[in-house]
Amino acid sequence: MYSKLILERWARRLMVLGALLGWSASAAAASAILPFGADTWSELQRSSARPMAVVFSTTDCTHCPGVIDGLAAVIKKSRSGVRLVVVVMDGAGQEDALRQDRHYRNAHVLYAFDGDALALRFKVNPDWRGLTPYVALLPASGAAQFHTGAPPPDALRSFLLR
Amino acid sequence: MVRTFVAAMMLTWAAALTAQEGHGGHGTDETRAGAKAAPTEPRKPLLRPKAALSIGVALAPTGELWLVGLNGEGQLFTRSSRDLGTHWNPPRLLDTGDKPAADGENRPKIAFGPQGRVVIAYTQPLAKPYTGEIRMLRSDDGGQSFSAPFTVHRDRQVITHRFESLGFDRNRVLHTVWIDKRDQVAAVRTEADSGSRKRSYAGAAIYRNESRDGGLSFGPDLKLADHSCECCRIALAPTPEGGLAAMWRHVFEPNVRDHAFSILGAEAQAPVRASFDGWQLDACPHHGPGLAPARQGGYHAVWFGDKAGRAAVRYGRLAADGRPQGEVRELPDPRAEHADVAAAGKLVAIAWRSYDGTQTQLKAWVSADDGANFSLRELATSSQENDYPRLLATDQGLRVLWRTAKEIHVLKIDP
Repeated sequence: MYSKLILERWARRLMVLGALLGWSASAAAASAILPFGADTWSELQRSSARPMAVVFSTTDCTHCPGVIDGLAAVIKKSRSGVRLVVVVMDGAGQEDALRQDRHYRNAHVLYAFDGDALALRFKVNPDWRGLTPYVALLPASGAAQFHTGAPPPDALRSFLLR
Repeated sequence: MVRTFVAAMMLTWAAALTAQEGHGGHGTDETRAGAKAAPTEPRKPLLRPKAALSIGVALAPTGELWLVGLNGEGQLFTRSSRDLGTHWNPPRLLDTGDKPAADGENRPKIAFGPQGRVVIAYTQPLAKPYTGEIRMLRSDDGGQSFSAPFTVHRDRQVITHRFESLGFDRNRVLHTVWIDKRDQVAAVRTEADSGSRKRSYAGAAIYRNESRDGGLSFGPDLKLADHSCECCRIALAPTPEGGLAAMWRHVFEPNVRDHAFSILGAEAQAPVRASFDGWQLDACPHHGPGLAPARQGGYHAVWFGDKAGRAAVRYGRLAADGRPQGEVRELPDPRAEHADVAAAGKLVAIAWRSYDGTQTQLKAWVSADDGANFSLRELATSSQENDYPRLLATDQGLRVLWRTAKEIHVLKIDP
């Protein structure tokens, strides 16, 4: 039982790394939806695929598509190699609907969250009060910066130029 | 170099948004009638849908406590208790044929009216993202049997009709109020047709209707207010005159997400501003207010907001017309969220949940003097996933209900 859990955990890690590193075309990458579990945030933080912009989104969030589209466009324009990761907090079991939402296709990696949202929020940032979109800018090294809604231009500039 | 980069980035961002608006507006897939998704074969879901824990609660005229929610299979069920939650009857499934939403702020509701009338309402998500219909089941026999579900509003566009709240007034009129995007969608279409790139309609709208026969038939859809926030619950409370008052998160000019208040049915009264946090935000708080009648007139209100950079749940009194009255106080818990408020005589309780990184605590702020002074109580803890707490005023005092993945807590709030 324990070894099975270990294997599952490593399989998930490899899946995450593979998805992040294997990205080449955004439209193709977004068709794969990965489960975002209790350890995925830690794995992203440790990932060699940083820098990345992680957008925590919900399906009923009317501001999320604009932020995802905006970030995707800016990242593409910047040619910075930053990966856009979208985590749909209420996406578990709705993968077909997510695949058909054009905004999510902007993501290099798309996750459906599966777990305790309160615990995830606390782990990501205890100050995150559940508002969406919630954006974590993970530079190549160093701590993440968090923004509710679209990151301010200055913060985005420093992140992309870093 | 830096300025050029920022300018280029902002132009890119603006272009992305413009392209989006040209297809129907910021975050409104529902308006993209012409946008066709690439055909894809349905695949087996990667994950099992999360169990939705949100419940609605109400007291029957007989004093029975009822709740409505979804089970682990996503089916609507009711449970009832003759002793305020000490013992529960087995869950009774209601065959709706729908897949109701019951996540967070968008919970199923139940309300009891006169002559054995009972209604249950929920949001049925539709095929396009962000869309939904308000569905209702009705009973004429005190909840022994329910009708098949039907749609409450006349507007049948595949757009947002969500976050319903409902209640009977003293004149036996059933009021249903919900968040509705028909005006936002119309504005986006008009602007697109005129070639404008401007997005002028902020937020959604609050609509309502009335039924004078317990949900058998409904009057027209009536607009209560333009420019509500899009994803927060609407609070209802009885008025001293026997009507219903509503409080919701609103988008005030220029882009401030404070709260508005209105008496349902008072057509001449424009909504009034009930909170002044001044929270400017382009995001979804997913965090609606709570409202309860105060003993000496006016209302007790709780809401979440960011005031001068300080995010908190706050308590304040509202006058009978909804205007703020007196001091606004922060709850004594910086991690408080999704608070509810109820009152029974001089007893006032505010209940909320608070996560400390290990477990969720159910806490209450209790006043025995109509809100003048409060004391903090810790009522329960859970390491399971859990719903937001609901307060209920009963003939035997105040109760707080809290559903966790494991159980349903029903706790008495003592003075």
